[in-house]
Amino acid sequence: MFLFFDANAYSSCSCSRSLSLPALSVLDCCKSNDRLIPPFFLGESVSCESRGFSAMDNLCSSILRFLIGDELEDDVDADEVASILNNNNAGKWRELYQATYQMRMAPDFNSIELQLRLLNRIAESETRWITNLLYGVARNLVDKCFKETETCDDADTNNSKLSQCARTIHRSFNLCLNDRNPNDIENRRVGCYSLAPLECKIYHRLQNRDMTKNLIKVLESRSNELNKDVPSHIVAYHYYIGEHYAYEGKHEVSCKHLQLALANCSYHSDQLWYILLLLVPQTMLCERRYCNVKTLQKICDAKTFSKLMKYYDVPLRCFIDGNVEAYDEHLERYERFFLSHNLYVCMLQLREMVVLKYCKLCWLHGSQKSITRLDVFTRNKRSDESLDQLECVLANLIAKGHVKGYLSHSNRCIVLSKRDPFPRRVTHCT
Amino acid sequence: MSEKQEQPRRTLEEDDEFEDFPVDSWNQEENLKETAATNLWEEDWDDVEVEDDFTTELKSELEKHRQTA
Repeated sequence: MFLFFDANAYSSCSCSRSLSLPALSVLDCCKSNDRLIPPFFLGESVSCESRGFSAMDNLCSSILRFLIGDELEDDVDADEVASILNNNNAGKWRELYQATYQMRMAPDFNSIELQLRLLNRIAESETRWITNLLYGVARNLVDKCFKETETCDDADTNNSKLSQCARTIHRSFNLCLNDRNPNDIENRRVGCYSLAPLECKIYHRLQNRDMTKNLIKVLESRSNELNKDVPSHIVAYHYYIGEHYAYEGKHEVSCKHLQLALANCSYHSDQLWYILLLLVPQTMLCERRYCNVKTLQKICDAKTFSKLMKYYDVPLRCFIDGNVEAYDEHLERYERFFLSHNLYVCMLQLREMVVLKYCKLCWLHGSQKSITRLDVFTRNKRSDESLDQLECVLANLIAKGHVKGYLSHSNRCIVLSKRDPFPRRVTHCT
Repeated sequence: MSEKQEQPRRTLEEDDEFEDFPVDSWNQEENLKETAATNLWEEDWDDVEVEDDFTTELKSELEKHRQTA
């Protein structure tokens, strides 16, 4: 047994049971025997060591290593855990340990699901530290569930397994969300950040947008109660909310969450592809801020950058040179991709930016006069049809404030403001 | 000899699952907070002009139009 637990240090600190932040992958560090504390916690653990904080991390790691790790033997048995934590839960810990031993024989979805259900019962009377275990076992359950459903062709079985998985994790989520402990350091609410993305992931797999919507509604209505300290899960948490609002066409809210996800992401991480795929066009649409390609290349790895460029190189160039035809061609070419990622409407709305740039360039190089004939913009096409179409486009741009001026239909010209006829309108969502 | 069955490969863009952020590579000091806020987004792009084929062609057409007008 290599559990470095110091009972005196633990008892000297009343809040030591609640100090662990939720580790995303505690198992990663648990697998390494020479390092019991997850790298993410090191700063905090070291600074708090004198107060017995690392002892609790060690205990938590030991339990998790036993619950989901490769180790067959428990470092600390159920009765020992209960005696250290809460003797009232001794029976529940024994049940959980028994279920874990059985799970070793047949590590399938049902046995891991049972584990999480038993852990949920224990969590009812535990504090914040338990969120580590809840997340670890829930993550293991999702992985197993996805693995089993990927190899099974029966859609009904798969759906019911995914739904069951979501229900059990939702129970864990509610246990965290509805913790009424007034002490912010002790209550389990921080677990919402780690469990909500797992739920969203399952709903995404189930293609059940309504469930995602309900979950996000709950999170937003209770956002004031959630802890503001930022665990690593915040990236996934904000991504899923941003992705949901992108689907709903609420681009400004989506931008706000995706920008938070991006800000907490690290350089060259795989998540940048998903975040930037949604963020690049939406930032342009909502804030009229253009993505700097050089910076993009710097923050993404080569693979992510080239994939992003596949879809956004042409549009980004078109925003600068006003090539409407190239933009339309690109949109048609990747129509399916943009549709499947809920970006098509956004890209369609962005076409207006390309048209605007085209009109601006035509005016700059073809007229620069306050009263400009419309055939400047149609490149000498003077048919009624093309001029009518153009008037319609310009009327929309004027109505939205992108162009300052008015149209004279009878004279087939536009009268532009002498002062700033194409005003810049940068806004910030955050 | 067993025949190798080729599995259909999924490209990353088709695989739109969002993987959780890996904690072992997460470093608060290395996150994009500063870059994302300051360098990634440009506000003065609207005045930028490039000299690509399309722009050159457009300019020459507009020049012709100016002369005929």
